[in-house]
Amino acid sequence: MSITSLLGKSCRPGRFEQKEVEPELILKLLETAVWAPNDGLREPWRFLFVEGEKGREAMPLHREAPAHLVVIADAVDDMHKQEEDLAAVFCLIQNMRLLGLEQNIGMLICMDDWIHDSSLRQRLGIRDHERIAAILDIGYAEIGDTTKEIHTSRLRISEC
Amino acid sequence: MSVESIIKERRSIRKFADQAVPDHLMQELFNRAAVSCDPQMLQSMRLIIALQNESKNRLSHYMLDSFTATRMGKLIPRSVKETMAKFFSEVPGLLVIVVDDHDSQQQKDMHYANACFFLQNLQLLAWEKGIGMFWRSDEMLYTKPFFEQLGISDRERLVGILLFGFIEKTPRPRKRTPASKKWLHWPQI
Repeated sequence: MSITSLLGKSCRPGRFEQKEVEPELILKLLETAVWAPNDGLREPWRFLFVEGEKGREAMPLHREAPAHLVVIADAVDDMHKQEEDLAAVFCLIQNMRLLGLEQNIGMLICMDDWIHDSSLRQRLGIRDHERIAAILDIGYAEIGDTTKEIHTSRLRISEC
Repeated sequence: MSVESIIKERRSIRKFADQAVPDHLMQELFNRAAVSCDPQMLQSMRLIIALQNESKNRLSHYMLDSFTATRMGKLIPRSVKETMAKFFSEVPGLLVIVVDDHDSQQQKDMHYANACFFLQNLQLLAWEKGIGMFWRSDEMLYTKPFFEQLGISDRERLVGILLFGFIEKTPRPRKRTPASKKWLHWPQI
């Protein structure tokens, strides 16, 4: 599907089908998504796949979904590099969302404060100099056309 | 072109064709990149574009002043800095991306994330049109004089500057680590 038509699509939040999401498929999408721009080719990411059944155990506070992907970013001491790395990981996440839509898979992004809790970090094995960038809730979903609201007037653009 | 091939084939472009990028084309790309974005989140982002020669000269001088203000910039000879400014002023277009940075940490992270989502959409859409981009986030741009000259307040955050133009030369891909090498199941079996 073309990128333009994909950008016009979205999944209805919170309405995943009760259908298993194969980890192999998510890994396959990730193999494409890692072609995200990243400064100095640091590839500052790694991934934890959590099956829906294990979701409660892994993240007791979190809503249920057929699968979760914990996207982990490097968090080096140099704050400037840390920000650049985070940007790269967010670009990768956007790639994943687009690739998912093409497979009728919706991905909801969770960036709530609790993703940084030390107990969660420990349970998931997040290392020093790493941070959770986001947790993606993944599931097959009804993918529809975004109501073509006029976002355009909302963009704030000025000439330098 | 499928989204998969655009994602894989897109490169950061440093060599642009000597050809103007029409303003209406950029506006169209901005609008299309914004369609999938949270409308409220879009409100927290602003773009400063330089396509006219006058704007590009202005922005590249701001960048030059910014470099000069840094400790490293002081060590670089004037002639080198002027070459850099010339390079930036001769790029077909530049785009400065700024987001709000004054709410809770979670809000700040989300503003930053959403700007990145928008920019990745923009880079993919541009690629399809033969427009290459190069996202600069050099530390030398993060200076007080630069923020002041551009009117970036201390309640805002600079996401970066995208250089863009029609592609002259596409660099060869550099090998990437397969995702499978960076992937674990939880709990580990």
